Amino acid sequence: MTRVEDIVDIVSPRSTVWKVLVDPSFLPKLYPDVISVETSPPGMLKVGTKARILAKLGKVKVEAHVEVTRADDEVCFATRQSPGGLFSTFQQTVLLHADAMDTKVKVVFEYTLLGDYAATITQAEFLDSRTADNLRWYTRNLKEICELLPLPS
Amino acid sequence: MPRVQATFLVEARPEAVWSVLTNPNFIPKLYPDILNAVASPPGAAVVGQWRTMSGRLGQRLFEFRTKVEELVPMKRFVIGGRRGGAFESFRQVMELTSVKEGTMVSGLFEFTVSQDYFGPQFDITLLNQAASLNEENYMMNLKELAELHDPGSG
Repeated sequence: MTRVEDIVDIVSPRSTVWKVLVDPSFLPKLYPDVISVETSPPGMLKVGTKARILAKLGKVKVEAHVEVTRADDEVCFATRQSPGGLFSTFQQTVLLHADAMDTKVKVVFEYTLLGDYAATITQAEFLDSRTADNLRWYTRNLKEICELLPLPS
Repeated sequence: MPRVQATFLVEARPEAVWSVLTNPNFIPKLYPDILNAVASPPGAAVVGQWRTMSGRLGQRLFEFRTKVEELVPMKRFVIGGRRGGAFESFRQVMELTSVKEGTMVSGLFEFTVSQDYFGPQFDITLLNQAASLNEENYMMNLKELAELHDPGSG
Protein backbone atom coordinates (compact mmCIF):
# COMPACT_ATOMS: atom_id res chain seq x y z
CA MET A 1 0.00 0.00 0.00
CA THR A 2 1.25 3.48 -0.84
CA ARG A 3 0.60 6.34 1.57
CA VAL A 4 0.75 10.05 0.72
CA GLU A 5 0.29 12.55 3.54
CA ASP A 6 0.38 16.33 3.53
CA ILE A 7 -0.38 19.07 6.03
CA VAL A 8 -0.88 22.57 4.71
CA ASP A 9 -1.93 25.98 6.03
CA ILE A 10 -4.43 27.65 3.73
CA VAL A 11 -4.86 31.40 4.05
CA SER A 12 -8.60 31.21 3.69
CA PRO A 13 -11.58 30.45 5.94
CA ARG A 14 -12.65 26.87 6.51
CA SER A 15 -15.94 27.48 4.67
CA THR A 16 -14.04 28.35 1.46
CA VAL A 17 -11.87 25.24 1.69
CA TRP A 18 -14.93 23.11 2.29
CA LYS A 19 -16.74 24.53 -0.77
CA VAL A 20 -13.84 23.57 -3.02
CA LEU A 21 -13.46 20.13 -1.40
CA VAL A 22 -17.07 19.08 -1.96
CA ASP A 23 -17.53 20.62 -5.41
CA PRO A 24 -16.67 17.88 -7.94
CA SER A 25 -16.26 20.43 -10.74
CA PHE A 26 -12.90 21.39 -9.17
CA LEU A 27 -11.48 17.84 -9.21
CA PRO A 28 -9.90 18.11 -12.71
CA LYS A 29 -7.95 21.12 -11.46
CA LEU A 30 -6.99 19.52 -8.15
CA TYR A 31 -5.49 16.38 -9.73
CA PRO A 32 -3.22 17.25 -12.70
CA ASP A 33 -4.01 14.10 -14.69
CA VAL A 34 -7.76 13.98 -14.08
CA ILE A 35 -9.67 15.11 -17.15
CA SER A 36 -13.31 14.75 -16.11
CA VAL A 37 -15.55 13.60 -13.28
CA GLU A 38 -19.12 12.34 -13.37
CA THR A 39 -20.97 12.01 -10.10
CA SER A 40 -24.09 10.19 -9.11
CA PRO A 41 -26.17 11.90 -7.89
CA PRO A 42 -25.00 15.14 -9.55
CA GLY A 43 -24.25 18.20 -7.41
CA MET A 44 -22.08 18.69 -4.35
CA LEU A 45 -20.33 15.64 -2.90
CA LYS A 46 -22.08 14.08 0.09
CA VAL A 47 -22.06 10.72 1.82
CA GLY A 48 -22.98 8.04 -0.71
CA THR A 49 -22.07 10.09 -3.81
CA LYS A 50 -20.28 7.91 -6.35
CA ALA A 51 -17.76 9.45 -8.73
CA ARG A 52 -16.39 8.06 -11.98
CA ILE A 53 -13.07 9.75 -12.55
CA LEU A 54 -11.41 9.78 -15.95
CA ALA A 55 -7.69 10.54 -16.11
CA LYS A 56 -4.96 10.40 -18.72
CA LEU A 57 -1.59 8.77 -18.67
CA GLY A 58 0.29 9.60 -21.82
CA LYS A 59 -2.21 8.77 -24.56
CA VAL A 60 -4.22 6.31 -22.48
CA LYS A 61 -7.46 6.90 -20.56
CA VAL A 62 -7.45 5.66 -16.97
CA GLU A 63 -10.58 5.24 -14.85
CA ALA A 64 -10.99 5.38 -11.10
CA HIS A 65 -14.21 4.92 -9.13
CA VAL A 66 -14.68 6.35 -5.66
CA GLU A 67 -17.47 6.88 -3.17
CA VAL A 68 -17.83 9.54 -0.48
CA THR A 69 -17.87 7.92 2.97
CA ARG A 70 -17.71 11.01 5.23
CA ALA A 71 -18.71 14.62 4.75
CA ASP A 72 -18.84 16.21 8.21
CA ASP A 73 -19.47 19.88 7.43
CA GLU A 74 -16.17 21.84 7.38
CA VAL A 75 -14.43 19.19 9.52
CA CYS A 76 -13.82 15.89 7.74
CA PHE A 77 -14.18 14.60 4.20
CA ALA A 78 -13.39 11.02 3.18
CA THR A 79 -13.68 8.80 0.13
CA ARG A 80 -12.85 5.18 -0.67
CA GLN A 81 -12.66 3.19 -3.88
CA SER A 82 -15.74 1.55 -5.33
CA PRO A 83 -15.53 -1.44 -7.69
CA GLY A 84 -13.86 -1.01 -11.07
CA GLY A 85 -10.98 1.06 -12.34
CA LEU A 86 -7.42 1.68 -11.23
CA PHE A 87 -7.49 0.93 -7.51
CA SER A 88 -7.97 -2.26 -5.54
CA THR A 89 -7.97 -0.12 -2.40
CA PHE A 90 -8.15 3.66 -2.08
CA GLN A 91 -8.86 5.85 0.89
CA GLN A 92 -8.71 9.63 1.11
CA THR A 93 -9.19 11.53 4.37
CA VAL A 94 -9.16 15.31 4.61
CA LEU A 95 -9.30 16.97 8.04
CA LEU A 96 -9.93 20.71 8.44
CA HIS A 97 -9.04 22.75 11.50
CA ALA A 98 -9.76 26.48 11.83
CA ASP A 99 -6.70 28.48 12.88
CA ALA A 100 -7.79 32.14 13.34
CA MET A 101 -8.80 33.17 9.78
CA ASP A 102 -6.73 30.39 8.20
CA THR A 103 -7.37 26.70 7.84
CA LYS A 104 -4.99 23.88 8.66
CA VAL A 105 -5.65 20.95 6.34
CA LYS A 106 -4.37 17.40 6.69
CA VAL A 107 -4.76 15.15 3.68
CA VAL A 108 -4.01 11.42 3.73
CA PHE A 109 -4.25 9.07 0.76
CA GLU A 110 -3.68 5.33 1.02
CA TYR A 111 -4.04 3.16 -2.04
CA THR A 112 -3.12 -0.02 -3.82
CA LEU A 113 -3.26 -0.24 -7.60
CA LEU A 114 -5.25 -3.05 -9.19
CA GLY A 115 -2.47 -5.10 -10.81
CA ASP A 116 -4.45 -6.48 -13.75
CA TYR A 117 -5.80 -3.08 -14.73
CA ALA A 118 -2.46 -1.35 -14.23
CA ALA A 119 -0.75 -3.92 -16.44
CA THR A 120 -2.91 -2.83 -19.39
CA ILE A 121 -1.65 0.75 -19.04
CA THR A 122 2.06 0.86 -18.27
CA GLN A 123 4.78 -0.40 -15.94
CA ALA A 124 3.40 -0.69 -12.39
CA GLU A 125 6.20 1.33 -10.73
CA PHE A 126 5.73 4.23 -13.13
CA LEU A 127 1.97 4.22 -12.67
CA ASP A 128 2.37 4.14 -8.89
CA SER A 129 4.77 7.07 -8.93
CA ARG A 130 2.55 9.09 -11.26
CA THR A 131 -0.47 8.38 -9.05
CA ALA A 132 1.42 9.50 -5.94
CA ASP A 133 2.49 12.71 -7.74
CA ASN A 134 -1.14 13.49 -8.54
CA LEU A 135 -2.15 12.98 -4.94
CA ARG A 136 0.63 15.30 -3.73
CA TRP A 137 -0.48 17.97 -6.20
CA TYR A 138 -4.04 17.72 -4.88
CA THR A 139 -3.08 19.45 -1.63
CA ARG A 140 -0.96 22.15 -3.32
CA ASN A 141 -3.71 22.91 -5.83
CA LEU A 142 -6.35 22.97 -3.08
CA LYS A 143 -4.31 25.65 -1.31
CA GLU A 144 -3.81 27.66 -4.50
CA ILE A 145 -7.48 27.63 -5.51
CA CYS A 146 -8.76 28.45 -2.01
CA GLU A 147 -6.39 31.42 -1.67
CA LEU A 148 -7.55 33.17 -4.86
CA LEU A 149 -9.22 36.53 -4.30
CA PRO A 150 -12.50 37.27 -6.03
CA LEU A 151 -12.98 39.87 -8.77
CA PRO A 152 -14.28 42.49 -9.19
CA SER A 153 -12.47 43.87 -6.16
CA MET B 1 -11.75 42.77 -31.72
CA PRO B 2 -9.11 40.13 -30.83
CA ARG B 3 -9.52 36.78 -32.57
CA VAL B 4 -7.82 33.41 -32.39
CA GLN B 5 -8.23 31.02 -35.29
CA ALA B 6 -6.74 27.62 -36.10
CA THR B 7 -7.37 24.57 -38.23
CA PHE B 8 -5.86 21.28 -37.13
CA LEU B 9 -6.11 17.53 -37.57
CA VAL B 10 -7.32 15.35 -34.71
CA GLU B 11 -6.42 11.71 -35.17
CA ALA B 12 -9.77 10.48 -33.89
CA ARG B 13 -13.29 10.08 -35.25
CA PRO B 14 -15.63 13.12 -35.17
CA GLU B 15 -17.67 11.36 -32.45
CA ALA B 16 -14.64 11.44 -30.12
CA VAL B 17 -13.98 15.12 -30.82
CA TRP B 18 -17.67 15.96 -30.43
CA SER B 19 -17.94 14.17 -27.09
CA VAL B 20 -15.08 16.25 -25.65
CA LEU B 21 -16.33 19.47 -27.20
CA THR B 22 -19.88 19.18 -25.87
CA ASN B 23 -19.20 17.76 -22.40
CA PRO B 24 -18.84 20.67 -19.93
CA ASN B 25 -16.88 18.41 -17.57
CA PHE B 26 -13.88 18.78 -19.88
CA ILE B 27 -13.86 22.61 -19.88
CA PRO B 28 -11.35 22.99 -17.00
CA LYS B 29 -8.92 20.77 -18.90
CA LEU B 30 -9.42 22.58 -22.20
CA TYR B 31 -8.73 26.10 -20.88
CA PRO B 32 -5.60 26.17 -18.67
CA ASP B 33 -6.85 29.01 -16.48
CA ILE B 34 -10.42 27.83 -15.99
CA LEU B 35 -10.85 26.16 -12.60
CA ASN B 36 -14.35 24.74 -12.86
CA ALA B 37 -17.48 24.86 -14.97
CA VAL B 38 -21.10 24.49 -13.94
CA ALA B 39 -23.68 23.86 -16.67
CA SER B 40 -27.40 24.58 -16.45
CA PRO B 41 -29.11 22.29 -17.27
CA PRO B 42 -26.38 19.84 -16.23
CA GLY B 43 -25.02 17.31 -18.69
CA ALA B 44 -23.96 17.42 -22.31
CA ALA B 45 -24.48 20.59 -24.36
CA VAL B 46 -27.96 21.53 -25.55
CA VAL B 47 -28.91 24.76 -27.30
CA GLY B 48 -29.56 27.37 -24.61
CA GLN B 49 -27.41 25.65 -21.95
CA TRP B 50 -25.70 28.17 -19.68
CA ARG B 51 -22.13 27.58 -18.57
CA THR B 52 -20.71 29.50 -15.64
CA MET B 53 -16.99 29.12 -15.13
CA SER B 54 -14.52 30.39 -12.58
CA GLY B 55 -10.96 31.05 -13.61
CA ARG B 56 -7.77 32.47 -12.22
CA LEU B 57 -5.70 35.39 -13.34
CA GLY B 58 -2.63 35.57 -11.15
CA GLN B 59 -3.99 35.53 -7.60
CA ARG B 60 -7.46 36.69 -8.65
CA LEU B 61 -10.60 34.68 -9.26
CA PHE B 62 -12.81 35.72 -12.17
CA GLU B 63 -16.09 34.55 -13.69
CA PHE B 64 -16.73 33.65 -17.32
CA ARG B 65 -20.32 33.18 -18.54
CA THR B 66 -21.37 31.58 -21.81
CA LYS B 67 -24.31 29.84 -23.44
CA VAL B 68 -24.61 27.21 -26.16
CA GLU B 69 -26.02 28.90 -29.28
CA GLU B 70 -25.85 26.28 -32.01
CA LEU B 71 -25.32 22.52 -32.25
CA VAL B 72 -25.12 20.57 -35.49
CA PRO B 73 -24.05 17.10 -34.29
CA MET B 74 -20.51 16.14 -35.37
CA LYS B 75 -20.27 19.28 -37.49
CA ARG B 76 -20.70 22.65 -35.82
CA PHE B 77 -20.68 23.94 -32.23
CA VAL B 78 -21.20 27.60 -31.37
CA ILE B 79 -20.85 29.25 -27.96
CA GLY B 80 -21.77 32.86 -27.17
CA GLY B 81 -21.06 35.08 -24.20
CA ARG B 82 -23.54 36.11 -21.52
CA ARG B 83 -23.76 39.42 -19.69
CA GLY B 84 -21.45 39.92 -16.75
CA GLY B 85 -18.09 38.34 -16.09
CA ALA B 86 -14.75 38.62 -17.82
CA PHE B 87 -15.92 39.33 -21.38
CA GLU B 88 -18.01 42.12 -22.87
CA SER B 89 -18.48 39.89 -25.89
CA PHE B 90 -17.44 36.33 -26.66
CA ARG B 91 -18.06 33.96 -29.54
CA GLN B 92 -16.55 30.54 -30.23
CA VAL B 93 -17.25 28.60 -33.42
CA MET B 94 -15.93 25.04 -33.81
CA GLU B 95 -16.43 23.19 -37.11
CA LEU B 96 -15.64 19.51 -37.66
CA THR B 97 -15.03 17.74 -40.96
CA SER B 98 -14.54 13.99 -41.18
CA VAL B 99 -11.39 13.11 -43.14
CA LYS B 100 -9.57 9.85 -43.84
CA GLU B 101 -7.00 10.46 -41.07
CA GLY B 102 -9.59 11.49 -38.47
CA THR B 103 -11.24 14.89 -38.01
CA MET B 104 -10.24 18.28 -39.34
CA VAL B 105 -11.22 20.91 -36.76
CA SER B 106 -11.53 24.64 -37.40
CA GLY B 107 -11.79 26.83 -34.34
CA LEU B 108 -12.50 30.54 -34.14
CA PHE B 109 -12.64 32.66 -31.00
CA GLU B 110 -13.62 36.34 -31.04
CA PHE B 111 -13.82 38.28 -27.81
CA THR B 112 -13.72 41.61 -26.06
CA VAL B 113 -12.36 41.55 -22.51
CA SER B 114 -14.37 43.62 -20.03
CA GLN B 115 -12.06 46.28 -18.63
CA ASP B 116 -14.90 47.37 -16.33
CA TYR B 117 -14.99 43.92 -14.76
CA PHE B 118 -11.25 43.64 -14.18
CA GLY B 119 -10.73 47.26 -13.16
CA PRO B 120 -7.89 49.66 -13.95
CA GLN B 121 -5.20 47.63 -12.17
CA PHE B 122 -5.21 45.14 -15.08
CA ASP B 123 -3.63 46.05 -18.39
CA ILE B 124 -6.01 45.33 -21.28
CA THR B 125 -3.18 44.09 -23.51
CA LEU B 126 -2.14 41.51 -20.92
CA LEU B 127 -5.77 40.45 -20.46
CA ASN B 128 -6.12 39.96 -24.22
CA GLN B 129 -2.89 37.97 -24.31
CA ALA B 130 -4.03 35.75 -21.43
CA ALA B 131 -7.37 35.09 -23.15
CA SER B 132 -5.70 34.35 -26.51
CA LEU B 133 -3.23 31.97 -24.89
CA ASN B 134 -6.06 30.06 -23.21
CA GLU B 135 -7.93 29.78 -26.51
CA GLU B 136 -4.84 28.52 -28.35
CA ASN B 137 -4.31 25.95 -25.61
CA TYR B 138 -8.00 25.00 -25.78
CA MET B 139 -7.46 23.72 -29.30
CA MET B 140 -4.26 21.82 -28.46
CA ASN B 141 -5.94 20.26 -25.44
CA LEU B 142 -9.03 19.34 -27.48
CA LYS B 143 -6.75 17.39 -29.82
CA GLU B 144 -4.94 15.70 -26.92
CA LEU B 145 -8.13 14.67 -25.09
CA ALA B 146 -9.94 13.45 -28.22
CA GLU B 147 -6.95 11.31 -29.20
CA LEU B 148 -6.81 9.42 -25.87
CA HIS B 149 -7.58 5.72 -26.17
CA ASP B 150 -8.71 3.00 -23.80
CA PRO B 151 -6.12 0.80 -22.06
CA GLY B 152 -4.92 -2.05 -24.24
CA SER B 153 -6.44 -0.60 -27.42
CA GLY B 154 -3.47 1.48 -28.56
